[in-house]
Amino acid sequence: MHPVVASEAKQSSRVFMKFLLVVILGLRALELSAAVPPESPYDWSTVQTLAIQDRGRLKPLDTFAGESVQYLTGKRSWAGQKSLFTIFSWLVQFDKDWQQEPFLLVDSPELRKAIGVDEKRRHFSPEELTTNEPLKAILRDALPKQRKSEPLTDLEKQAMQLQARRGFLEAIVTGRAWTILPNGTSLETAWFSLGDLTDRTASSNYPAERMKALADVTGAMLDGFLSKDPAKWQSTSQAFVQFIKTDLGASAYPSESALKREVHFNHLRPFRWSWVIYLLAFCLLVAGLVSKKTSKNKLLIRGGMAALGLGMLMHTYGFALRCLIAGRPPVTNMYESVIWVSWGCLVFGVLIWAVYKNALIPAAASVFAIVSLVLADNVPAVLDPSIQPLEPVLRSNFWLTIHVLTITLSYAAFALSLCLGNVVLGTYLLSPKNIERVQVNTLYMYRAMQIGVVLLAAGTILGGVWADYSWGRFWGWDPKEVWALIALLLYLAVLHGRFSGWLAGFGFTVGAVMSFLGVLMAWYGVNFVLGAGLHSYGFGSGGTIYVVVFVVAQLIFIGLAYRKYQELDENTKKKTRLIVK
Amino acid sequence: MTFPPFRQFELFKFFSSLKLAVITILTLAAVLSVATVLESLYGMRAAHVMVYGTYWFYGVLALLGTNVFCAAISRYPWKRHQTGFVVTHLGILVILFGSWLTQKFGVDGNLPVIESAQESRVILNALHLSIFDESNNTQQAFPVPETALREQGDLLKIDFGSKKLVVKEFLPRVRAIKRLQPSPLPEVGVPGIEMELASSRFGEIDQIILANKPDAWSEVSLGPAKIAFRKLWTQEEERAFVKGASGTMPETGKAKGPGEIVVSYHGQQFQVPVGKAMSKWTRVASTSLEVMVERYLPYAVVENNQLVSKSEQPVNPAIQLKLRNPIGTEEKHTVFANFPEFDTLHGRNGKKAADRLGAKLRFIASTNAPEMAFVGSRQGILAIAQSADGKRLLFRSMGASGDLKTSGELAVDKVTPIGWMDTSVRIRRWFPAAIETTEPVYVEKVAGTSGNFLSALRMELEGSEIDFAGENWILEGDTRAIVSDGKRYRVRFDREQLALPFTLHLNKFTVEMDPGTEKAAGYASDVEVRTPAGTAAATAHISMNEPLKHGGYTFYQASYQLRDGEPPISVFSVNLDPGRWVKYLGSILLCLGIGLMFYMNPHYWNKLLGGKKE
Repeated sequence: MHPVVASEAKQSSRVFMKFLLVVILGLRALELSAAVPPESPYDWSTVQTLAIQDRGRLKPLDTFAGESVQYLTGKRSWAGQKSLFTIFSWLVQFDKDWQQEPFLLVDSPELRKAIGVDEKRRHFSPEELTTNEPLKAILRDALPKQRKSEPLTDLEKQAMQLQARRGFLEAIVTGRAWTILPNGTSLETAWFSLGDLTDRTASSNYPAERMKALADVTGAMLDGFLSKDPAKWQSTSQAFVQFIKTDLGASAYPSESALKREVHFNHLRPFRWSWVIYLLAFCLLVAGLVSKKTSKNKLLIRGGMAALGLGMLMHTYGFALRCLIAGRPPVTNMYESVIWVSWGCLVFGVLIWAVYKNALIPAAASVFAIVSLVLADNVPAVLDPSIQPLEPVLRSNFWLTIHVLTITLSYAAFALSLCLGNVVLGTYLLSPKNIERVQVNTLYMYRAMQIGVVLLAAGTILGGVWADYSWGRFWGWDPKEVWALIALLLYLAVLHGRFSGWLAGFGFTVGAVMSFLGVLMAWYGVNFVLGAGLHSYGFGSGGTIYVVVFVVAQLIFIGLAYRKYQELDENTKKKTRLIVK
Repeated sequence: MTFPPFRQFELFKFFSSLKLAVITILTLAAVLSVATVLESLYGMRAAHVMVYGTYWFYGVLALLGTNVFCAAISRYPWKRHQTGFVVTHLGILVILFGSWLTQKFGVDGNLPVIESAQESRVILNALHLSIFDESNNTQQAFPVPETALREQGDLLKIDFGSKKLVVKEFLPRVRAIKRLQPSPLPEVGVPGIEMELASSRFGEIDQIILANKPDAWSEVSLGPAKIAFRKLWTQEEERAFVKGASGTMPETGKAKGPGEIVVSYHGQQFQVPVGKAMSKWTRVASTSLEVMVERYLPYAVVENNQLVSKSEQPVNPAIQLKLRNPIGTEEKHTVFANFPEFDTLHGRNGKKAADRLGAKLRFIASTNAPEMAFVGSRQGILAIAQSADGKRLLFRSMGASGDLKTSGELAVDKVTPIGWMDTSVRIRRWFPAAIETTEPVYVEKVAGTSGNFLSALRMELEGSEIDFAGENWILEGDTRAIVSDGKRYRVRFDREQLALPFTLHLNKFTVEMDPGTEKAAGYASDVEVRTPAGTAAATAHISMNEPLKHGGYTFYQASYQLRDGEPPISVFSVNLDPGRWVKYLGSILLCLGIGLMFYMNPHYWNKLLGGKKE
């Protein structure tokens, strides 16, 4: 070894010892302190824009904290504390405050039963799980299977998911997940983590004086965190962030505006605002539609449309922010497509409204948007909101954008036709004698369907173009493309069924509503139920229960409407036939 | 006069009816949805074999085509408002025609190329069994019927004169399980162990390791640790291993064997490491000679008229070896390192000079004590070595920072803690001369599993007692030798291949990862197209979405394989599609037609229905 290098390594190992000492002393000091430091006075505005290299992307620590707390606890925040506070607390005072705290999510009732714990609880402490023998036994069987890529049982899968959570928690606690130290060369290559500081090899990556400075600011910040003194935390954490950004990250660091933009996006939560405003719009529109007084209902509907417009602005703003953050159109996973499709559904609703001037159309569209956005906002386990890097095959932005946007827009049009179809069914149910209204509402549904058919046919073909361009074949019977075709065929069968005279008004409506199941399968089922094929980049699991509930409710609704329809005389039934003017 | 003249035929009416259209569309939708379920259960090939590639499925598509065609011409002469209808239906027909062209004349396959190597054979989908007759260098191929599920019975019979090869079973998807077996012929085996690493944290990991590098460590990374295995040749090496500098790992390639054999042949000198030729026929560099060391005697003395080694100290190193040429002349030599002038050939007196191989041999013993240099590593290392006498297994385990955890001896079936937390090792099987065989395990359902599966065949050789020496299963890509009526044949089971009129040379393959992860962000290949004469015809950079077009073929970057210590393999998807532009044309017509249809007078449908007015 070169003598200079040797002495440097020695020095950096001394610095490393000091660093360890700081941490350990910090922990000791904590053993004496009585309670968890109060969170509220701490200022996080500097720390939240610290960049972290996580899952293939550079993101603000704020995003990482939110995602980590969500992943480990299944909640957006734990015990009402800021998620940044929670992850810092995991890092520095895990053994004291968290080892016995039941916060780790075990969401599978099946797994809870199998490992013999209280089935009513959903959260368990790390200690409980570490000492759980049945869990160990399940994992002992599952681990070799996974290594040999043999199929796991559902229980084993759930145990492995829990194991992955525990592994991630360990990475946070040991500092290995805190990849916040720039490597001084580029943003694309691997950064160092706080955990790497305790590793001789990694710590020698920085020159000795830098290593010493890093150890000093880190130690000071951890002291600051434990001090319960907001002013001290403020100064020490600022010094730490400053050192990382301007010293370690001098040559390569993500731009401050990009980091701030993402934090702004996290805190604003535009999609939650959107559905809240849509809900208001929906109430106003419905009130306007049912109220008898003309003057009053005009005002209500105007108010409703204004609210809808405001909601769409927020929706669009959120979507644009997400595009900027991800650097691509956000339609590559289930969450993003739900956001986009609900937006598209409203756009088509407003377009058809512009032609027919019936507030029923945007009201129906807003139902779909509200349901989708509420789900996207509240079921992160199924609809994962985190932004992730693209699979290599998706990095041809042009065709990806064109093909996926067209296909998903057709889903939006079909979703609108589903809502309007249910309005038709509702009309049969509530005012079966009002044939005119049935006819008019069926026409709206038909218009949405037409838009959908054009877009789905074009989108499927554009998918062929993209497949030809990326994979070398126009059509490969991949399940995703096959199901898009099936959905198209179902709608075509309904259209041809109408022309052949097989489907009169009611049958046509039911056919159109049921054909949406094809869309649901192409959109959700292929990725979450079939789980096969080249489009495997969007795969996930869970959520089947929501889909089943929807399908059952839809069938019941059709059944109820059918009973009313049966009561109509033959002449009236004939009149329900769609007339396209 | 009406056109078409057969407009009144009942059959034509049937084929042009809207009701048939509804039925055909719904049938197609139902068939397709079943196919996607089959695919998720049994994999892509199975869906192809059961649905997409079958004649009855083509039949459904043909029915659809007929229906569309008849429906379109039954409305002739077309009115202006029917433009959309006609264009749409024409579009469907054109797409179907384009698909037929692709199906009939297209090529769709894979071309794996190793970095710094070239390849011209495209792997297609159809499975076949090819028989190569070594006596006259001829080859015959027999298609193997592919099924979606396990198939048993006499699936294929091939005559070999008096014998008959019968394919008894076909497995469309197998997982290849490696097994360690004692070698049937000691000279082909190398030391092998089947071990199990167990810990409460990661469960049990099984691993087979063969010491197939005579002078170096065979290494396997098992998650948290690296396992290294080798054979020690001398007591010296053994001592060096056991002693080892603390906290270190014997560096690969540095440890020396007993020395080198120097073969002087036709005026040239060639060197062969003794370790490499130990108990194994080894070619002497570029000559046709092969050498095999039978014994190594560090301290050779003659006792009771026999040459034995008095100790393991290299006082008078000697080796006994055999030398042979391809026509069967074999010689036995004893070579002493310290006495190079001794004539080494055995049984010299009875031989004529002309019958000798004419090679002169020297043995250069390693002068230094075997060096076991150690290097640090960030991974923990468990080094296992077979002792020089082949009777013991020694081990040393080292932590991630290079500190010695523990060392000692391993015994078969004994659980030995190795000092990393609660990790222990157990040797399940150990053979000083072992081979690794592959056994197929049928994977019925692919749901919940990952990876691609190969297919496998079980063959029997009727009229032969030897059969395949127990190895009746042949996996896709494997070759077996058979002897029948004194002739040698090679049987190979693989996918059909297509030889391109040029070759693709992979100059360089690169993968980029997402920052800080092992996830590929993109990968690319720098290739050179070469003519059969070997001259470069074109160079290209093929990456995701940037294919190479050459000679009518298109090469796409499909996937890749990174291999430990070996150059990566880049896999291209190769495509020749004469139907491409026809399908594009059909697509444009279809979209245009739908647009026109919804734009133009929607009443035409009602008129189509034979004048039914609303």
